[in-house]
Amino acid sequence: MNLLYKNKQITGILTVIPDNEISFDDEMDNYNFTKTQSMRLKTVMGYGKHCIVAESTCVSDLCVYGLSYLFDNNLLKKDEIDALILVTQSPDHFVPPTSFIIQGRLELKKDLYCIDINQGCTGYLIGLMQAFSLLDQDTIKKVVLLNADVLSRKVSKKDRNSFPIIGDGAAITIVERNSVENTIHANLFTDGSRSGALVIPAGGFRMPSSPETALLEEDDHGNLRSKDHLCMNGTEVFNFVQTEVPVMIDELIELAGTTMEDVDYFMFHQPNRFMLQKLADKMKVPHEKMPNNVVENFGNGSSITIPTAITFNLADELCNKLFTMCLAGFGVGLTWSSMIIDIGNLNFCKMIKYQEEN
Amino acid sequence: MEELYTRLAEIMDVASVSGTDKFEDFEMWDSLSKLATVAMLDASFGVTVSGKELGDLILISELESLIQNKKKA
Repeated sequence: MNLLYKNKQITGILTVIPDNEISFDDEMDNYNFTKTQSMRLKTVMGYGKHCIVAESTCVSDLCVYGLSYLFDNNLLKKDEIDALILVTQSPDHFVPPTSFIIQGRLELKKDLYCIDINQGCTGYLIGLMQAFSLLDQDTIKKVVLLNADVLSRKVSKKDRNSFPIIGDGAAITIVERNSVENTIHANLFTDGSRSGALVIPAGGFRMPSSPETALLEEDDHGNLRSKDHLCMNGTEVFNFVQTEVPVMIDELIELAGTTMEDVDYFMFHQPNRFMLQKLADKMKVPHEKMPNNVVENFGNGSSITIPTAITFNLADELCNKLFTMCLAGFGVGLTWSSMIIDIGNLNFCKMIKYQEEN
Repeated sequence: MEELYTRLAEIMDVASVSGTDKFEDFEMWDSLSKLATVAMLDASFGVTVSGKELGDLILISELESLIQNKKKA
């Protein structure tokens, strides 16, 4: 599906990353593999360290912390927020939606448009699309897009496939109308028939959590996880990305009437360095134009990887310059989506650390 | 198909690999090697092989046949 948005812009990006940083080397003993095998994995995949929350920290904690930072530093005013979109796969509760918990904790205005969206890897783009659509309302001038997850709490510590790469955090993106005319092109694809590649089997209503679903089971590769934990099929996801994403980007470039050379940065979702390098090679994009350093420094925080890549790699530059960026998300659903958007001249673009309270 | 055997040897961290060898005989034939192989098949041969298809193979020579079949399709 092709989508078109007019006269919209991002005016600020803040990422909130837990200060609890653990290196791959320190967690190696948890896995069912020899040290040699684990070190080989570390080198090939490009693992380093990841930042994860304490067992009790929730998405609303990260979002409230980040929004409070913006209020305290006069980067955002409470009463200017007309809509709050929260994209998360790890809400505080099933009921009520976590965007309402955030509204309540921060005492935001009573007619605020609040909505939770359940999305992961493609969640930054899905959230932006929602924000752009809402801004067509005369009464909605400033949208706060929150992307946040605490998925490390749903990944088995003995799952070498997923635990080294998982990251937690939140991203806050301010989206407004643009007084200068512009056009944003995007495309979106979905395939629920392949949804099994990325699942948390138990905990919903199809398979409620129970003592049985909490039991650790060993998979064909020696990883231990329960049905309450995230389960990701690495090779299936790799093939999906390599097959679908280059085609999607080619179509988007043609739709937008531009060229690959005119794109300054390909800010893609970061599954891990290995996959992004292979993707860049396939698309013939120089590695410098497709940053791939998020997972080795912070982990894969689902829908926050794109804003994390932006705030980690381009913080100061984006406050003074404008870049043509191609964003892309791909993963859970399965969904894959891309967007060409000029981002820059931001009011703020930074990363802050979340300090766990005692 | 010499390139296939050279690249497989690199992935398995051995001096050489032959068609009559069995995948399971290699110490390094683990989930990471399988992913690296899938990636290599995509990059060097332009074919998509699923984890399951790879897991079903017994002899290295069967991989050569699989690649040829996929290229014909």
